Amino acid sequence: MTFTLHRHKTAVYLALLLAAWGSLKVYWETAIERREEILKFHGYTINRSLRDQLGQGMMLGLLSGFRGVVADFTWLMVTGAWQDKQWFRVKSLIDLSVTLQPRFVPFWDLGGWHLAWNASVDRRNNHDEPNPLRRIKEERYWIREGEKVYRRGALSNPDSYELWRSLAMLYEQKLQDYRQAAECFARAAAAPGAPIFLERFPAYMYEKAGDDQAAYEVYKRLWLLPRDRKNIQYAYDKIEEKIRLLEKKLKVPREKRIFP
Amino acid sequence: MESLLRIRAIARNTLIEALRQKVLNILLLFGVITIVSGFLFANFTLAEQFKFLKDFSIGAMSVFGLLIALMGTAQLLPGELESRTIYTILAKPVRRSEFLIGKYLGILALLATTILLMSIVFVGVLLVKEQSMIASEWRDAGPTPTAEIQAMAAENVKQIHKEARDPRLVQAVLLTYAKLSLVAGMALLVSTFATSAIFTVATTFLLYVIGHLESIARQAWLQGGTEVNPVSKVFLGVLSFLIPDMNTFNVIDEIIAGNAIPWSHSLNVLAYTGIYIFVVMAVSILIFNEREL
Repeated sequence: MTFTLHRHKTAVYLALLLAAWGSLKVYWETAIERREEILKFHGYTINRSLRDQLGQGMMLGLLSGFRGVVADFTWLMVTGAWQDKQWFRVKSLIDLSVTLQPRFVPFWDLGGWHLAWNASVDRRNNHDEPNPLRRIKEERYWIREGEKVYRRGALSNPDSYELWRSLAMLYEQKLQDYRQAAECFARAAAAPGAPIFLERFPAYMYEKAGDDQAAYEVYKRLWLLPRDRKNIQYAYDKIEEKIRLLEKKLKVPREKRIFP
Repeated sequence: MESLLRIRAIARNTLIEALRQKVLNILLLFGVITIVSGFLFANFTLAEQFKFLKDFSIGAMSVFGLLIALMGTAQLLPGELESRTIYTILAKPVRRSEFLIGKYLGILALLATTILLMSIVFVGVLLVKEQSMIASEWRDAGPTPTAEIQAMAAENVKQIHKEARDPRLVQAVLLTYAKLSLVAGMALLVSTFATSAIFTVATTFLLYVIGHLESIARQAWLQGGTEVNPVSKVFLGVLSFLIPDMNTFNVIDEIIAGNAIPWSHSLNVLAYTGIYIFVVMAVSILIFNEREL
């Protein structure tokens, strides 16, 4: 060491500068962190479990600020495990990827699809398991795991319509729970950037659930919205057709009908 | 005014020297990585492909930028001391602070040049990828697509344009530059009291890694309560006071993931970095002024 702080004045300046900056710095960083929490950026905590899951190399990558690249590598491993049909490995790697980047919607969307569709179908067709009930049980297990991924993803990304749509399709096509599907489609349609056709899906689901009254209410609400009726995206012709049909079916009193 | 001219002369000299050392050769490697990563993951979904390309490109930008910031800055003072040119420079009416600021600005100019060139390669690869994906989209739609298929292809093309021409990438590149400038500043601070370049590189890299854990230290210090013993608390407090929170730059990953980051947030992080660099430079000057050469 070839230098010495022999001037007290310099040491005092240094101490004052660092103390002043340190206080401001801590306050500022806390404010930035709070803002990031509001924007839902933080998804992971660096701990022993994360280190064990990632391995030394990827942990170093994470500590060097390459979270996105590390998440990409874990996602590439998901694809490998999926091709090998190692479903529990797929599940834990999906968990890891979404933990590292909870705001990248395709990780949740494809992760839920891997579990709820690919894993469940693979288990249902697993001919190594002679007991059909066990096969169904396994199939249900993976559907529920996929459902959990979609739900967690939707909570982490409330502004994404994709995850609510995927969840709705899961309820409709895998679980035949049309009421839940209707609720999820409604949430998807309400999210920013959602395709317009999604707003009619809750009604279709209520019809499938046999709840014509609820379906009628949805169509009626859409019909009464003050919008450009010539825009084909709103499909007013289809809505009119459905309303006419349901008013007849539900025997709605003439004075209360939209099309008396 | 004269002081500014002296600083500018030193900065220009530092930049020219660095360029003569063929630092920009690293760009060739960057170009290869970017181009390869752009076409390596063709079997993935559109969103995944663009995310991988952006992650690997900005990641490569960070890695090579980090190397330049660390190595370039670490050898500034030892190099001048070894060749004894520092004595000639400081014998002229050049203040030590001017010398240090000039050197730092030279490194910033070098980083700006490399980041700019890397960004041009990155944008080029993005545009090539965009065109090839659009061509493949229309090819898949067939020679006489139905109206429905045409609408779907058009929707995908719209999505490809959105991913490839995302203006938010400017924010990501700016923040990457800010991060590297901060690392260069820390390296300069360490080099004012270090005796060798290798010490500066190793110490700065450790500070960089610790910076990614600073938020944990700060949280434990502020919210740890009685669970953290007093000695640890003092240590955590000192860490929180001195080490920059490198996690503030994690917002780059969010931008690449396609999230809308308000400019106000990015500007806040940039302002934090700017003031941190200012403080680091002030401390560096105070220490360098006392150093026996």
